[in-house]
This record gives sequence, structure tokens and C-alpha cells, in this order.
Amino acid sequence: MHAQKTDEHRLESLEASDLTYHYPDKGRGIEGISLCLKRGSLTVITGRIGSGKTTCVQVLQGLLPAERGKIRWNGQEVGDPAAFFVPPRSAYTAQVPHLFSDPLKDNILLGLPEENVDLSMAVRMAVLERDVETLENGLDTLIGTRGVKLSGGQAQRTAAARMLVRDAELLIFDDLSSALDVETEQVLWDQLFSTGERTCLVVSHRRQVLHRANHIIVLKNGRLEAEGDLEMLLATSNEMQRLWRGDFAMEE
Amino acid sequence: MPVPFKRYLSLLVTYLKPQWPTVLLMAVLLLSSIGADLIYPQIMKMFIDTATRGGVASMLLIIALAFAGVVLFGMVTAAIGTYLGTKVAWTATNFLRRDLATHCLSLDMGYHKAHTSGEMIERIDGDVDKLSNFFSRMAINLLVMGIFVLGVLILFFTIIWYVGVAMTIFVLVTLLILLYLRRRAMPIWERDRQMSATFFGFLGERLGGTEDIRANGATTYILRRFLLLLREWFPIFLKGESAFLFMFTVASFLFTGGSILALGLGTYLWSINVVSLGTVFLMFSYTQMLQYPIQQIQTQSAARRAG
Repeated sequence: MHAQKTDEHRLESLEASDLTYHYPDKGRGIEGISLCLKRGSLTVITGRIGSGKTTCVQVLQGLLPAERGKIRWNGQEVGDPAAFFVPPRSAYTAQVPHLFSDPLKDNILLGLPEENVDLSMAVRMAVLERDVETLENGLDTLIGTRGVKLSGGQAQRTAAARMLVRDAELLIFDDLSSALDVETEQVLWDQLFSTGERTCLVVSHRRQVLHRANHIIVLKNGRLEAEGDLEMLLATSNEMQRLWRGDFAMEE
Repeated sequence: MPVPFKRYLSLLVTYLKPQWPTVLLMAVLLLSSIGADLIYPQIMKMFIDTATRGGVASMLLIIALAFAGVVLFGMVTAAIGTYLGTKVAWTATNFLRRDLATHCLSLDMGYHKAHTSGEMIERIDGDVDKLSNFFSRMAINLLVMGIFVLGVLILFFTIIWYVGVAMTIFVLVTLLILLYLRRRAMPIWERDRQMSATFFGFLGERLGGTEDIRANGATTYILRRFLLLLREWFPIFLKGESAFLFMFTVASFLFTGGSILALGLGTYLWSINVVSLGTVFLMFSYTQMLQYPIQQIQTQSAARRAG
């Protein structure tokens, strides 16, 4: 079941156009979102709470069924995103990651054969090494209701390790940094981009990430408000200026 | 974890003492309902004997009304008694939970480092739940059922002494066999309960993490774990269920045997004019009524498994 990465999985570009989805109960959602990712780039989706950031990355991966829209991987249209956007093409860290009552290692591997993957690299990249050292049984420590309770940040970094160990072409983070302190986050991004080979789609409103971004997409009420690089957006977009100042930080 | 009976008793005294007026009222009500249960076959006997002797209709009507009254009285007292019993059990175990929580909070950090929060919840809530079953089901039910069976047997002795002896032997043999079967099935049910908890715990966590699983390509792995768990659970479930059905079948056989014994003995005594037709009916109803307490033991086992 562990698909080895081959050339056919290699990502050159990912384009999505007119992505639309509305939640059946609330009627809210996203409307006509388009985006384009190039290999080795960092694209950040930002916006205030409820602007549709999470919905956007979930629709892209087929975790929510799109009402409209096309997705092209290297120019080829993707028929069934839910089956397509899995490792080794892409991997995902949810905003609120779910860990299971299993040893830490099993939570990260989720069934991958340990001898085929670089577990220690993933742990190091996710800045989880120090935490593992403090745990009594290291990676074999049982976590969850019957074991050790991890802090919010530890849980998020475990989820990040879970994503990184899959060595996917495209990494999708939903607000990974919200439970990380500034230094930990700095280390994490430094390590992630050290090779320049990784393509990342990140939901965030943190300055560190916005600074590093090649391209920023600003959402407002489920629609595209503005896009471009940080300098240009700060000069032209009122919404971006307010996000940058942290005007909506109180909402969180 | 078996706790010596004496410690159970001291636990009962400590936590029931503050509520003694309610406990007393409950006891009176439950005893009254037992009394009503024991009396109404006697009224039926009177009715049958009056009718077969060709008694007057007004007398039959009075007996019928008395019968309805006693049955109603028995139902009402049983309902209120059970309500009070549950209330007493919850009050007592809530005090016990509070005492336990206070005790745990007063322990030093060493304890809290050595034990996870999940374990503490299990200790304070899970174990107390088992005790609550003891308070409300075991202690009260067993006492009530014991008194009831004793009452029925005494009434058998008042008919003719050897009817009493025969029925006592029947009750003892039935109880011994069923208790033996139950004790043998208990560890299987216990394991079944654990497996069911593990299984549903697994399922709940994985369903909550559907997105994480799907987007990271772990669907096959989780399904495999799911199937492995099912495979582990199935034989235990099957064994537990078979044990339950076996017990049920054996009980049915035993009670049919009891009914045959009562009817056979009654018919013989009636044919030689020692007892009236009403008494034969009385013997038969009492034997039928003995099923109830034993069925209680079974439903209790079923509740344990479901829990």
C-alpha cells in the first residue's frame, strides 16, 4: 500500500480554477477561487476567520466535494481529487490535527513501513526531536486518553511529522503555526525550505510565513479579495493591511 | 477485582447511613410489594375454590375486586420503591465520587505524575459505576429476591410439608446450576465488554480524524486495523453470546421441570382429595413466580454485558 514516488508523481505546476463549494447547512463557503502553484514555491492563503481558507484547501484536496471548478496537475485535469491528492503527490496537516490512542510512532507513520521512510528526518523537520527526548519511551510512548497527553503545539508538530514522513511533492498546511512559538516556527520553516524542492500551500496569517511567501492569496467572505506578493498587497489591499496589523487577531 | 464482602458491607453502612429515612421507606415499600406478590395467588385460590364449590356471585365479585386492589398496590409500591432505590444509589455513589476526588487531589504530585488523567477518570467514575450497580442492583435486588423466594418456599411448606421440601430442593438445584454457569461465563463477558470498549474507542477516534487519514493516504491502513480488531473481537463475542444463550436454554429447561413437578404433585394430591383445585393452581402460580427472581439474575448479567 505504500506507493513509491516515481516521476509520474512529480509536481511541476498545480492550477485550480473557479473552485466553488457551499456548506449545505449554513450556505457559507467559497465562490470562484482560482490559484496556481509552481514547483518549489510557497503559496499562502490568508484572510480573517470564516473567510473560507480551510474550505479552500479541503475542496482542493477533494475532502469536500466541489460544486464547480477544475483542477489541473501538470496541465492534466484531475478527475477525482479525493483519490488523487494523497501521498506521494500531496500530504496534509489539518488545522486541528487528530491523533489516535496509539504509540507516537504509529501516529506519525500511519501504516507506512518504517524501513522505507526517513522517520528521524520527519521528526527533526517537524521540530519534534526535543519533545521526543523528554518522553519516557521516546517514539514508542503511548499517547491519547490512556497515555501521555500532548500539548496543542506538540500535537500539531506530530501531525506535521505525519505529513513530512510521507515525502510528498505538495505539502498542505492548515494553520500549522497557530500553536507554535515564534522560534519553533522559525526553525520549522528554515528546515522546510532548506532544499528548495518542496512545494507548499499554507493557510496562515503569521508575518513570518507571509514574509517568506512567493505568492499570497487573500480571501474575504469566500471570495478572492486580492493576490500577489506581500509588498504589492501591503501597498494596494486594504484587507491585507488590516490582516497585517492584526486587526482581526482578537477574533481568535 | 474481587472485594471481600465485609468491606462491601462497611461501604454500604458508611454511605447509606446519612440517608437512613429514605432507605427505611424504600425497604418498607419493597417489602410491601413482595407481600402483595405473595398474596394475590392466594386470592386466586379463594376465587377458584369459591367458584368450584358453587359460591354466590357477589362473593366472587368481592374477591375479584380485592385481587385487582392487591395487584395495583403491588405495582405502585414496587415503582416507588425502585425509584427510591435508584435515588439512594446515586446519592450514595456521588458522595463516594466526591470523597475519592478529594482524596486524589490531596495526594502529592508523585501520584499525579505516575497516573494519567484517563486512569484517574476510570478510577473515580468507572469503578464507582460498578459500585453503583452493586448498590442499586446487587444489594437491593438480591435482598428483595431472596426474601421473595423465602416467602414462596414458606408458603409451600404451609400447604403440605413435603411439597415444601420438594420445591426447596428444586429452587436450590436451579440456583446452583445457574450461578455456576454464570460464574463460568463472567470472564468471557468481561473480555467482551473490554473489546467492545476498545473497538468503539478506536472507531470514534478514527471517524473524528477522517480528513487526516484520507488526505495522508492512510485509509487502507485504518481499514486493516479495523478488520483486525473485528477479527479479534468476533470469537470472544461469539463465545459470550453462546454462553448467554446456553444459560437461557438451561434455565428454560429447569423451569419447565419445576412446573411439571408442581403440576404433577398438585394433580396427584388433588386426585386423592388432599388439596383443592385452588391449591393446585396456587402451587403452579408460585412455581411460575419463582422464575422472576432467577430471570433477574439473568437480566443483570445481560446488563453487565451491555455496559
